Amino acid sequence: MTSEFVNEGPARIAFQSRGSCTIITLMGEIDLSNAARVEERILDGRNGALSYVLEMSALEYLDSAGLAMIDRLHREISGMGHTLRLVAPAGSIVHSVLGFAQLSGLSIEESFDAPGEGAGL
Amino acid sequence: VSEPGNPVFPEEDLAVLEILASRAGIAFENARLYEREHEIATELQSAMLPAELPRPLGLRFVARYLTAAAGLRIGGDWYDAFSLGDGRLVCCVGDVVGTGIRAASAMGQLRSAVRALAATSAGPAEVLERLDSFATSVEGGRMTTLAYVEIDPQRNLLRYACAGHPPPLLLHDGKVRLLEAGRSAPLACFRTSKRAEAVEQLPTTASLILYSDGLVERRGEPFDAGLERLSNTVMALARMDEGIVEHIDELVERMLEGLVQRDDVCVLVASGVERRTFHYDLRADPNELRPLRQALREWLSENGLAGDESNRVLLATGEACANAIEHGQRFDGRAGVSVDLDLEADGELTAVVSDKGSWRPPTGGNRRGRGLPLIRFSMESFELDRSDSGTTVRMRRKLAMRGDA
Repeated sequence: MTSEFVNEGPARIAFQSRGSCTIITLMGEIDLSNAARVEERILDGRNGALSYVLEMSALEYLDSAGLAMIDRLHREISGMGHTLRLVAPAGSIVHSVLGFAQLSGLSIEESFDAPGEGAGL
Repeated sequence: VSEPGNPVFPEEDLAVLEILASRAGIAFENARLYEREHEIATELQSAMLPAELPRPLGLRFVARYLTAAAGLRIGGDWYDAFSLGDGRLVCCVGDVVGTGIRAASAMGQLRSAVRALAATSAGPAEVLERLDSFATSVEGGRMTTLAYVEIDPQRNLLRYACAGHPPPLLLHDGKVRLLEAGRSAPLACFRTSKRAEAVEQLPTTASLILYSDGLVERRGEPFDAGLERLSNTVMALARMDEGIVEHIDELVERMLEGLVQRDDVCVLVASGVERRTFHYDLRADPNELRPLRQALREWLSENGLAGDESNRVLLATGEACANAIEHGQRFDGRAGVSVDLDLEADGELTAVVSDKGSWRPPTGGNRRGRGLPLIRFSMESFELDRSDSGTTVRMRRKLAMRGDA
């Protein structure tokens, strides 16, 4: 099940449940103007999944406010004992920003194949 | 053919009909073969033209190629533009004698030879000298004409040589001049003198126009009249707002107006890009960041920058502006932030972001703590100038020029 995309300033967010995994797709741009609201949307959208994927293949911009957002999401999610994975293709601006930041305990995957509907992770 | 009332053909009529049918068959077959050859030659030719022209800093290349009108055989015109890897660029237009598949194939071989020789020759005259012996060995390569120009944007110079080709046109300040020096005979033909070349100043905002004779030649008209028509047309188009690059289609259209049967036509324009500075004012409001990025992306792409180099500039400028917006908000929500970028011909980029607030280290470590490190990561140097009247962030980076890739 994929939710409709919701707009948050220049960004769009969608949630998709696959078994015990929730895929959060981010599109558009995340900067100082919307990072805090995107973070809220993501935290509100949590649904008891055990693992989360931030799918940012189509995200066109991410600045330091966005980095801080991911950092806090990571702390929040791992604090509950759940896992967070990041997906951003090599060569993208998002990939270079994440690579620069070297967020501890978080690795960047270049692509992500969503597991089939209903498959548990 | 049969007589009314008699459905049977007389013997002699049948013989005539048979001959007629076989002749028509041959004619149809010829027409089909001819059409097929035309198709193959057209395909071959377009496959041999460069898929993409270089986009170096401060220069724009555009080209148009029109194959001969239907019914005429495809000729061997070609154009090319490429980087020499040291900041200099080469552009050329050539014309192989003959038509059809053979001409298209000779054209392809010569175009590759020009690229190979350009990188290892001392200059245009030497390229032509060495092409002479190559063209002799290519079937259909003899008597090929070529205009070959080397552009050095950093020193605002061009060196050129013409082997029997119509002279390139230089447009500057609304005036045009034919580059008539550096002339010698077509390739691979008997000649007694050495290959000549000439040097010319190339002002930053000048345009260079290379073309094949199909653009200027008209039956029954002296060649010089065609050159004069071209000069006048280019001057008329240069008076319009945008550069000649934006009017290349109009140029071709006007030059070919009224021509029923035209030859192949090839035009290549290299134009200096004037817009190397970028200025943008924004209010101290985070919602202003995105429109700024859109304008900046457009400017970067106009200047031939893409990928990682472009991303670094976007990031550094974005972070500096986010800082400025935070100061502005703290002191006066209406305070403005101004952004100025400057790109030198050698790729040196300077970005200056200034605001009217006084500097404070970015606060709320959680919110944007990585702003400054991200700027340092993206640029080579970074200076901060704080005073009572405002804060100025000055960043620099030497960008790799894509034309050199």
